Amino acid sequence: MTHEQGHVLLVGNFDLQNLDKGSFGLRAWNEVFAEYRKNLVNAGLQEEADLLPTFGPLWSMGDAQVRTTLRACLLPRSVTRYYPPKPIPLSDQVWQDPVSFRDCLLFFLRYMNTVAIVSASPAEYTEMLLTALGPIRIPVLITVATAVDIWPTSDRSFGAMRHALRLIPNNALQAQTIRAKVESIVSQWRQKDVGEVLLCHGDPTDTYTRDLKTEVLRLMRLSEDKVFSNAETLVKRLPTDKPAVILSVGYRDTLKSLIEQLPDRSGLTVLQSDGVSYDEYLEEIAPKPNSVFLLCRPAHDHSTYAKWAYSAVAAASAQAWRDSADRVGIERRLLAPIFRVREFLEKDKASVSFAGNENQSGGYYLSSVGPTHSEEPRVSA
Amino acid sequence: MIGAEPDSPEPRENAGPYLDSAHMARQSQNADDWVGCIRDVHDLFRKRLPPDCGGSVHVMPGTTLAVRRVLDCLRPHLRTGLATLLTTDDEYPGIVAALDEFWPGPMFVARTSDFVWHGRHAHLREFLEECVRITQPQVLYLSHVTRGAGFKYPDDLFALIRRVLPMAVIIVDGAQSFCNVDLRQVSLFKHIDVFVTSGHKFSGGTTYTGLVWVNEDFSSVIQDPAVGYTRSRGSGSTGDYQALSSLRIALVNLKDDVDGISFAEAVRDKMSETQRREHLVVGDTDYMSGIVTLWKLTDEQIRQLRTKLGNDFTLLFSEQWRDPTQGIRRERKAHCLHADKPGDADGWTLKYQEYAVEEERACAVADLRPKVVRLSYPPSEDCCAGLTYQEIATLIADCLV
Repeated sequence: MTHEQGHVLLVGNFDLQNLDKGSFGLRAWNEVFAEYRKNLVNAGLQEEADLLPTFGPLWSMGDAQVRTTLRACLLPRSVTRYYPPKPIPLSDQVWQDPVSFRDCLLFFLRYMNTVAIVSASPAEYTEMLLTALGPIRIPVLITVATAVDIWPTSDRSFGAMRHALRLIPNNALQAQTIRAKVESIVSQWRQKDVGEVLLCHGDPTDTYTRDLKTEVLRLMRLSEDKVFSNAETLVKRLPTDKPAVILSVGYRDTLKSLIEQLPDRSGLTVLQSDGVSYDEYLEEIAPKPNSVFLLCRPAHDHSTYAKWAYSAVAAASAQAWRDSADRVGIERRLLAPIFRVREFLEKDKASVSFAGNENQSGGYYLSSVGPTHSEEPRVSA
Repeated sequence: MIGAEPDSPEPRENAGPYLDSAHMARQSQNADDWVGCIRDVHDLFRKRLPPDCGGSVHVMPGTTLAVRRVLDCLRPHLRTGLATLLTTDDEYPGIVAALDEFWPGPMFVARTSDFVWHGRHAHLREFLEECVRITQPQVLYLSHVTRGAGFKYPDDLFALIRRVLPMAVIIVDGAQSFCNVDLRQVSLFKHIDVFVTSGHKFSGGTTYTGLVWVNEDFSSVIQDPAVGYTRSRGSGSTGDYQALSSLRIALVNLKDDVDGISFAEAVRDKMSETQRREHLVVGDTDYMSGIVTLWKLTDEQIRQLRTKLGNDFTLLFSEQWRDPTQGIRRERKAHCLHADKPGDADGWTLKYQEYAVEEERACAVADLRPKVVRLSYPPSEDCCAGLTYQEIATLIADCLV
């Protein structure tokens, strides 16, 4: 029995200029690559694992010369025993639109037996990936983008939702967590000290910010006069002698401008969405020791979701290898690959349970951030 | 009676006395021979297949009907509407219509005909390989020999598909290859699941017969409720005795060539005068089509051509030949194939057709036309079997003297 070794394309934002800062893509890559090595060892391919190169700066597919070199590396490899699918990194940052990105994707798909694509990019790039794939039904596993409205809706989307699964809980679940916390805080306010709940958001054209803001507003029913895109205006609206909760929806720049304007006093609670990392948050809030700072985070780091995604794809590939040897029934052979991957995700990971395309398990949690707090461990798998 | 009795217990005979009768309760004149005729056709068909291919054979009233039956049997096993089907634009329009109608999932149509008609058939294998990798289909429907040009897909293509997609269901349309190519010599049966062919083309039977081979995995799946001549599994059969009998006679009369090429002797006598047309060369010397269609050849001429041109191309009957600018290339809205004019695709184009599962056949058609990929194979100087067009023209001229 001879098979062609599979590949898993890890599409992410490999910021080549800032590799030291650890982009989503790079962190996911490190986890996936380690998992690949582990799978090789588990499959009795220790020598192969030892030979794996240490990847330096990741390939940018904008360079024609790199493509030519890559093509030689990606030549299909026929194997007579099971090999775990080989992960291949692909930066999506250099592509501006789905059409040009599709050209790049097809370059890979033509030469590699791509069994799955793991997306480790923010919402707009993941949306671009799904649009670029069009009718191609290679399973897409989303590990970073949380925007609910990520699925292409145009006629050319070809039912992208049917071949993609999102492992990271989406913004609707994040909004639920934020709402629950705000309600908990508000319920503790005394009658005479009823404060304000205000929302400060970043660039409204950004997919993540717009989506999360919409979800929060929908759930919490905040009126428009309590929603601000400008931190200075928001601070003017802050009650001076009453408690307040400020929801910060966006990235580090939004938080930074908010913290700069914010008075340092007790009774103020800032609840930041997951667009900021724990360390970035800690850095920004250092000058304000008297306020309470909360950070909303998914149950697991996105790189963990990427690892799980790869792990499930590898397990599904191994099962397909066994099934082909065992001559399984027709039903099994006609099963779309996305369902094979899903089976393993739900079977092996306690924090993964899908309703449609969305992982409904795990969700988000809130942690206090400050010099006196240590980073809380996340929920273990 | 031809062929040995099967060793296994005889399946239940469903062929009753009314099978070829137009009127209920009217005794068939051929009822006594019916079962024997089916058995003979089964055995004769078997003899044309590799001896070690296993599986089971079925006879049905027509190739297209047989394909529809195969698809119909697959459908209950589809847990979702997500399974992808890949086929080519070289398939018979009736088959495309059947795939279009029966397949609930996405369907890709790879435009392979351009490669053959433009003399780039040497790249066809690579192209199909890429199509398979890109689309990762669960089902493939592919001709063994294309009806438009008589191009025979290399056997190793099927092995390669199996390497890439070990689980895929591969259906091969052998309408143009049965009795045209010596199937006993080919290796594709090791890699495919279903082989469907016709009883009235190169085998020389009359119309309304289709032959199906399925491997062991499918033997229990391809059931035959009243659409075939198969003796088992509850078949009531609606076939026509004359057609079945004609196929039996045709298969009995097939001769085996000493060098394994059955066409020359087996088909020679079956070509009617209307099929023996004047010499016709498709594509003039300025048109690098690489396709040469010839009629009214002697056995010796055929042998020479085969020897010189190799096995990439097989010979065509008039019925199977068609102008590439007509037929399937026309926009077929009913099938949403929406085929573009050839030559504008930068080498290759995939066509896609989508049915919304929930909605009723809402079609969206688009093409994936990679601009950067540019597999723009230049028209090959070696347009056929390593020979230049001029050499082929000379060769043909020599043969026809």
